[in-house]
Amino acid sequence: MQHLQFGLGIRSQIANSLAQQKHPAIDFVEAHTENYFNPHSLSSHQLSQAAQHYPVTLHGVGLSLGSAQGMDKQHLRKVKLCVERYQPALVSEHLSWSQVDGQHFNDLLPVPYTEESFKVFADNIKQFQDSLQRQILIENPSAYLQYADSQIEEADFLNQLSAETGCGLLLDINNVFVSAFNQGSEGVIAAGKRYLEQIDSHRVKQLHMAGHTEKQIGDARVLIDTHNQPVRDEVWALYRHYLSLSQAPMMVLLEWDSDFPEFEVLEQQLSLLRTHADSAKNAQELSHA
Amino acid sequence: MLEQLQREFSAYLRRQDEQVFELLAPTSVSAQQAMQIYRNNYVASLSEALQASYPTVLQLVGEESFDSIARAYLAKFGHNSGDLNRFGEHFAEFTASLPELRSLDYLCDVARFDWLMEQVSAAPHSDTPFDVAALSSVSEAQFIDLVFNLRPQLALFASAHPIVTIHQMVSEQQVEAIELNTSEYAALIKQPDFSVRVLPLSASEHRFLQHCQRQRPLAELDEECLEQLQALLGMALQQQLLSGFNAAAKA
Repeated sequence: MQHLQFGLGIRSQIANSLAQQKHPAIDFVEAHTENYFNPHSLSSHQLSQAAQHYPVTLHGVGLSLGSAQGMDKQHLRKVKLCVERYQPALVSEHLSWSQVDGQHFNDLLPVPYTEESFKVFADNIKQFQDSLQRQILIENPSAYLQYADSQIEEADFLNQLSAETGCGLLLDINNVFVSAFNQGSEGVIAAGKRYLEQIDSHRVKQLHMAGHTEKQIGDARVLIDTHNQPVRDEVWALYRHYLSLSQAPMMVLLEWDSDFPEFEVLEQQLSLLRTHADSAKNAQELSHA
Repeated sequence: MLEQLQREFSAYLRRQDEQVFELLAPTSVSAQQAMQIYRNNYVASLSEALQASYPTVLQLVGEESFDSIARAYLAKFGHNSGDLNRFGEHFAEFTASLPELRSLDYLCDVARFDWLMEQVSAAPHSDTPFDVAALSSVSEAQFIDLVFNLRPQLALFASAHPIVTIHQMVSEQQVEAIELNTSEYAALIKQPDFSVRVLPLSASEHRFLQHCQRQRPLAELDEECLEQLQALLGMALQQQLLSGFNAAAKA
């Protein structure tokens, strides 16, 4: 039987509730590493309290593993201190870049998937893992553009990075859908399924699920990865599809970053993570019967 | 090649230079529309960080003006650290340099106060009791050479404007006309629940605590503070502003 754990991102709006008590629907909490650099802050105190109730995973957003100029060493040192302090179950970062010439952009910017980018990521991931003395996971980003000189498909790029560096993968199912939609793929669900089938599921240790927002830009519709909505039906469909492909134990996270609803809505979303996982497993068993 | 691409991407985010468009492949939106999504995220996330750090400035100037100041700040300084908590550290001086804010000359000090509040709330906290018994055992001759240490969760604030009053009025949404050319002094003290207590100080109390902060011996206090030394020390001990003391190092 596949072992799945279901977690929630800890954010300032709900940190107090997670710090005060163990919610039965939540198996673990995930924190954005950069919010916990200062051990004396309220957020660090709340995370320490929450860690008494839940396993913690740390998810970085600012190390910029795709920077051609390399990582910011000071930033890496702060991440390392955070990892030592909280002893997280998993440590993850993104397949993206966010700094060049000393300027940081506080965003997950896309890279072209080329041999040069591959070498940059591989070197930085190895350095990151060597520094922490542990495996990290890399997450697929959401993208609003494509580069003309990309030569490798994103799923292959991730598989090869994992094989080259030994890093694990964090598969964000919502990002798969958002990117497929924004890149104008014909048949978005089919494109998303192909992506999930292409990913080496043995390397995936964590899933992210979230909501997105649709915007009209000129004549085109664009999906923005806002994490402020319930998960959309198409993303549930991709989630079920992926779980029907994988037997690996995994931590499944619900991300919600802004426009926070009542806590009951988050609990309902967590409950749906379990329900859809069960239905994927039932379908898998039926197909094997 | 990748480095050049990242520089061009950066140039669009910071200055809307369009060279990066040539590197993009067609999707459902144009190159400019796609890049604008990233630029909007960049500007919005950093403006939000400034709003969170400077709530009193935001209330005083309003959202529209704040947004325009934040964009100008971002254009001038960019963001040179992956730690978002440091992004606003030059904002107070920046507001003082803007010609359109010259009539609001107190705004720079309001910004300094907001920033200090945020820094104090995330400062280390020490609740080790002050060793009063050890202080009583110091001889009269040695006393004047003592250096007192402020608690790490404390910061001092001084302004030629009534910033503490303005901050309080804005926080309580009870703004009324006040005399703007009145100096105010305060100690900002982090509490165990991470809130910050604002303790108004007199000018001499502020000078005394500033003297302690600079790690100078009592003997070097100004005449007025020396005359009030017993009262000043009593206030600092009663308010639990001091963590300890030591003898000044001999030159």
